Parts: sequence; C-alpha cells; structure tokens
Amino acid sequence: MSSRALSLKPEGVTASGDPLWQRIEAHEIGPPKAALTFTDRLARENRWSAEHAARVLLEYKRFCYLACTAGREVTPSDAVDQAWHLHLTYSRDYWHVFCPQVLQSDLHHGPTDGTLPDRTRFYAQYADTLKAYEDTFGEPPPPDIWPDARRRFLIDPKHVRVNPADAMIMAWPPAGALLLAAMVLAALGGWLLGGYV
Amino acid sequence: MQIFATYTGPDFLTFYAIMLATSAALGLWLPAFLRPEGRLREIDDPEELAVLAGGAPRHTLVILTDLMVQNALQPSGKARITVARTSADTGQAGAAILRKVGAFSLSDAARTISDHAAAIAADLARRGLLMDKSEWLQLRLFAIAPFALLLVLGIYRQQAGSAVGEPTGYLIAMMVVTILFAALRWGTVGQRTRAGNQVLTNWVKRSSRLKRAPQGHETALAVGLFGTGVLAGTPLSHLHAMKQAGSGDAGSGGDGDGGGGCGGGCGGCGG
Repeated sequence: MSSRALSLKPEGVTASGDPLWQRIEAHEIGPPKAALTFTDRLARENRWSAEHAARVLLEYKRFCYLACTAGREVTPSDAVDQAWHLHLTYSRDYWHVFCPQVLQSDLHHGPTDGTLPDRTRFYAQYADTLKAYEDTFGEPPPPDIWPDARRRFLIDPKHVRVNPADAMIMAWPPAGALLLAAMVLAALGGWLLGGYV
Repeated sequence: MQIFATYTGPDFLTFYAIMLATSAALGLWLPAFLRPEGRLREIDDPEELAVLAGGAPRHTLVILTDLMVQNALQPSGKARITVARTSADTGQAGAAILRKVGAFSLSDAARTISDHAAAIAADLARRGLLMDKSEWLQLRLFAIAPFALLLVLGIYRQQAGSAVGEPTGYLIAMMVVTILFAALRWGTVGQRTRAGNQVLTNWVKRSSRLKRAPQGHETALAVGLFGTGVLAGTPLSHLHAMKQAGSGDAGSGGDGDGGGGCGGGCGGCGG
C-alpha cells in the first residue's frame, strides 16, 4: 500500500466568519415579494417540497462560496446544479448583483463535453468539492443533496424535460408492481383461455 | 421423544416451523452474545481495514484499486487486468501483483497475494480485532447448533413417520430449508471481535464522504471499507463491474451512458 498520508478529519471551519460567506448567505435571489419566489420556482420545476428547495438553495450558496475559495474548479451535485441553472435565468441578479457585488468575481458555468477525459475530470472535481465542503463547513455534505458518484454521474444525467400534459409519469416502485400484476394477469388469462379454447 | 409420537403430522409440522423460527433467532443471538470482546485499538492502514471489513477478497480489491489509481494496472478486456508499469508506491502485496506477467483475473490476483492477506489476518487476531481460527470455528458451530439439533429431531420424526407409512414430504422440505438456513448462517458469522466491529463502525461513521466520492488517494481506503460499490460512476467503475461479473451478483456496475457534470470557479470556466 502506498505511503501517502490519509486524513479524513475536516481541516477546520472557515466559512462562518468570512465576509464573503456572510454576503452570500444574506443575498436574496429575485424579488422577495414576487408571487412566485426563486425558492417556489425551484420547488415547482423540480417537484420538490418548499422545505427541500430551501435546503437546496442553502447548498447552492455553500457551493458558490466553495467556487470562490477552493482555489480550483468545483463541481456541484445535480440538485445544486438545478439551483445554479435557475439562478442563471435570473440574469440581471446573477450578472449585475450576485457576481460583481456578492462574490466580487465572475462565476461561469461550464457543462461537460461528454468525452471520457472530461468525465474523469468532473468526477475528480466532484470528489474534491465534497472534500472542500467538509473542510470548510466542518461537516459532510447532506447525502440527499450531494449523492454518491453512481447517482451523480450515471443516474442523474438521465434527467429529461417532460410535460405531464404529454405523458403519464409514475414512480418506479408502483410502476414495477403494476407491470408485474399485468404480467401475472396476462399469464393467468392465457392459461384460462388455453384451457377453454 | 415419546411426546412426539402423539403429534399428528400437521401438529409436528407446526411445531417444527416454530422451532425453525426459534433456531433462526438463536442462530443470530448466540454469536452476538458469545462474540469475544477483543482489544480496542484504532487502525488506519487500508490493507488492514480491508481484511477487517471483508477478509482476503476485499484485501485483493484494495491492492488492485490502489495500483489502478496510480495507473500501474489497466483493464485488459472485460474480465482481466494487465500491468501497465512495474513501479508504484506500494507495499509487498502490490509489488507481487506488479511482478505478474500477462493478463490476469481477479481470482489470479487473489491467489498471488493470499499469503499477505492471511498474514494481516493473523496479525489482527494477535491484536484482538479478529478472532483466531479456532475461536471463529467455535462461534460458527454455536451459530448453527440450534439448526443441527432441530435437524436431528426432524430426522427422528421422519424416520418414525415413514416407518408407519405417513407422508413426510413436507417435513423433508422443511429439513432442507433448515440446512439452507444453517449453511447461510455458517457463511455469515463474521470473524471480527466486538472491538473489531467497533473499530469498523467508527470508520464507517466518519467516512460518509468517502462512501460517496473518494478522492484519488482515498479510493483504496473507500473500497476497503465499503467494497467496490463505491467505484460505480467513478473512473474505476470497470473494476466494480469486473468484480460483480466474477461474483455473479446483481449490481450497479458499468460505465453506463452518463457523462453529466458541470463545473465552475471564480474567474474560470468549468468545461
């Protein structure tokens, strides 16, 4: 085994007293009195509860802090990426307020080019981001918002945009049970028909 | 045994089913109760943690992972590996793998370094984190003893029933189930002492991040603690797929067709 040192201990909580973090944490995206706030829209577009969307927003803010302090490129989870995408559509807030006044630097978004080296790079960045998160905030990232690599790089990229008016959407467990029941019924029906015909 | 002579077939089957459930409960409780205390001492070497968590098979996977992270090994087809370069920052087991010539399978690798894993296991037993072989054998015998007693009872009743011409098919089927339960329990009684379990639990508790996405130099440790499942979705997912194919387990290996990811950084572009 290699002799490289391993340390799982967070390297210290550094965010709470930082003015940058205080600015990011206090920043409100979009008009606070809007009928549909940023958090409401995030919840609606992703079919999340308001509480979950609020947690994702906090994780997005933590991600932005890491992007400015980690000293290297960072990669978000899919949930955090959805918050980022939505924030980019609030382009006046993002480019005229958030970046220049809150972050005081530009934060660009760059999707993968789909090649194997790029995927390898994004995996390494994701792992580094989770480590930087742990070191900076003194706790591991919440697993329901920052999932494992399998979920992040094999399952989450399969997301597609679907309008429920155009398609029937059903979660897997009941869909699987219904499919099984249909197969059993078809087999039973075939057996009964076979007996009588 | 006279009492069972008064039992009808269905009565005895009901009794047997209740005793089977009781044996299963005892088979779980006895090893938990009788497991030796051992001596609590922390360890942080990935090879030792691998042997503690998953024995020799896990040790092999840790060594291969460590060498693959260093690009000293590379996949050769779907089920084999070759040495890409013979120098790497590794120990004796890793060096033994790097001396291999031509493509080799996971089981070839396991055979090559089985002595190293056995030496680590013996050392962990001396330090009180694993039971020695005789203690382990004893604990496994305790775990299957309730099933063995029940089986003797079943054989007795089956012989008696068959001597008077009673049908005993259901009883034989339940005895087969008893044997399967016993075999399962025999194979699942771990070698760790209570102290060994505690050391592993401590590591798992503080390794939530490692289980999700280990950094390159942490990957071998993550595989040692959690198995190759942590490699799914990472650049080393082929090792997980290879292991799953070899073990016949259903699993979530393979590269899939993913490729998602976005990055960013102040003043830079993520991709």
